[in-house]
Amino acid sequence: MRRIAAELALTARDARLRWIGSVLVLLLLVTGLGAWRDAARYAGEVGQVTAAERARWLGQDAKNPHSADHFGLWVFRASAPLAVLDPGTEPYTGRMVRVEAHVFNEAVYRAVQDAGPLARSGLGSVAEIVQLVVPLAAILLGFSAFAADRKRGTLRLALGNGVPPGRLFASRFTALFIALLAVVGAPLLGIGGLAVVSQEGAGWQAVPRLFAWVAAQLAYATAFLLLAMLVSLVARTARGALAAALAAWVVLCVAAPRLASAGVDAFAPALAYRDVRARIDAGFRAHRTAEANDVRAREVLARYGVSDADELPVDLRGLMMSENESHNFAVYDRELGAFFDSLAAQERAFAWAGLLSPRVALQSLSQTLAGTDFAQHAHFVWAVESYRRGISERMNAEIRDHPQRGGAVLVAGPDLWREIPPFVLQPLPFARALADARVPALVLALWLGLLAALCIPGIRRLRP
Amino acid sequence: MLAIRGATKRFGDRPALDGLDLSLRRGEVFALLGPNGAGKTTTVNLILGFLKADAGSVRVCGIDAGTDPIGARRHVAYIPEQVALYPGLSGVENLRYFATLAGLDLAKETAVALLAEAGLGREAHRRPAGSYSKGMRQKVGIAVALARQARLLLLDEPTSGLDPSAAADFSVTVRAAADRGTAILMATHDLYRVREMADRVGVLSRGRIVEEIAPRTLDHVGLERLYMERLAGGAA
Repeated sequence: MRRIAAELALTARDARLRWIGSVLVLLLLVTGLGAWRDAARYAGEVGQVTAAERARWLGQDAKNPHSADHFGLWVFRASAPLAVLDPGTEPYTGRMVRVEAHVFNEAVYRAVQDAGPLARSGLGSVAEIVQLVVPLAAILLGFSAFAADRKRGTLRLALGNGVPPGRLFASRFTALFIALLAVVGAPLLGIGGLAVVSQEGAGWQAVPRLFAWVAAQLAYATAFLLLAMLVSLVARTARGALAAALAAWVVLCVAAPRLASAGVDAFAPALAYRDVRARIDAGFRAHRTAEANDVRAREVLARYGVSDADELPVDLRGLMMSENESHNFAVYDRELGAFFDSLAAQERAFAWAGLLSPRVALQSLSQTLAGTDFAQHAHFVWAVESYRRGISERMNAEIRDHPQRGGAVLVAGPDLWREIPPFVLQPLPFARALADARVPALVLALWLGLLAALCIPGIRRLRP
Repeated sequence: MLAIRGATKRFGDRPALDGLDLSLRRGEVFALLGPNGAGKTTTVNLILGFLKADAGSVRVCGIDAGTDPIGARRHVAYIPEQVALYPGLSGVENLRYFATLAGLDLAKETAVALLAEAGLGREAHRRPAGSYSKGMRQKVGIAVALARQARLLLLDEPTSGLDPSAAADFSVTVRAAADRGTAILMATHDLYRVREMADRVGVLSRGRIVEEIAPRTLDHVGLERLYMERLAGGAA
């Protein structure tokens, strides 16, 4: 502990740490607080519009249940509390869906439509700052760990006076890691904590998510600190160490992620969404022809042993609509399920592509832990569809169970509308996120292990 | 304390040491005298394990410095020719920092006393080392080495940059360390200090000790003449 305290005291005297720390903390706070303000505004808007939509649904006139099903309503996806830190896929996926009979509406209104210049420059979120700027900060802190001492001559004095290189490395690494904790971990916990306490996030298990997320970011920063110290161990000069570490940053943080995306697209291509929609529409059309309807109507009459629809104990129209919906559901589930499966396969491939760069591993890990990965969006889409089906089934059941004779029309009122509960999205549990995070977490751990292992021969061979 | 047997070291085609033999006992001060390029610093680097001998062995307190340099350095204190310090730390802070990293718990009062013993004026103890002269840095280096109370003290041009008064104080300090049982190896050009401090002198030329002298049997002029003759002989 005394050694670490001595290194910390030395590090604290370094003006670089103060400058790097100040700039980094400022950048994180400005970006994070801006995202928190936007998230709070969006949450408020979601709350207001959801309440208005609920009131509109409950206040609709008395009408036939099927008309009510077409009356429809909008449902909204609440943002994950940690989207303030890492919005993940949220800006690129729709936030609201119009729920109505027969129609499989897409989620619309993507947040990127409102993206400002900062977001377009690639530093729009705290996560992007961590992925791009924090490695630079770690490099600027670590590149001189030994190279500057070597150049100054203090390494000769230290090693020549019995300071074991391993002990020197360990205490220096610990001091710099503590510095990273202060300038990276503390602001992230602060911003994340603010997001967690100020946003309603039932079911998100936001506190353990936050700690796991911050731990992942620190592991990533530590990987670059180890990289910088490794270069510093072997470089002859501080300038050489800085140049080599910056070159590694360009490769790992800029080039490799592009390469990983292109590689995953090439080797694990996702289905095209327009093809998926075309297949869904074709599946619906095949079932919707007049001939197919007549065949099914005759089958229903035969099943009940009657020759006329008026003799049925149920309403033929309601029954036919239910059967029609069942067919469409099966088509939709099959085609959209295949589409989502192809995207999930791409995400798994991208997580393994983290072997090319710790940034790729972190991107995957960070979104999963924050609850902003594609799995959460797919969960929202399925939840909305389930809600839509619930409404249709209830309305169709009302029609089916109240057969109208002689051209009479069934009219329902607020009692039926109230039977439809408000849409509430329960997020995928944190345990699911931890399971999904296994591969990227393993890959990031491999990076840490590899860099630490590479440091060992450098430490053993450390010379002034 | 120190046993060098047949140590050979080449840098490319150029031999730096050529079968060097040297041994040093407890409480003995040995001076390696030689011109630039004679192999003095290479010898020091071999003892510290910063270099590995191509042939022969270097043992510090029985530990092979080639195969276990960290173990060997545990018994060594070292003052380089150019003592470098952290410019933002004061002399006391620098001394305590190096001592702490070496595993010593050096109280502030002890650090102040060691710096005073090394000849650094008290008014300089709290000033940032960035404002120190070469001689002042050298004195902090001496204090760093003294703090370790090592069994072998290596001095590479230790009086370089010291004013005459400080150099004289340094001689006293070194002799006191030797009297406490520390073996001292000093690589230097300074014939005057050699005669004052050393028990034995090895004249190093082209990587070999060409003459071993008991310096106190000669006066300064005699020592200088003998040194020049041996160098001329070694170069022949």
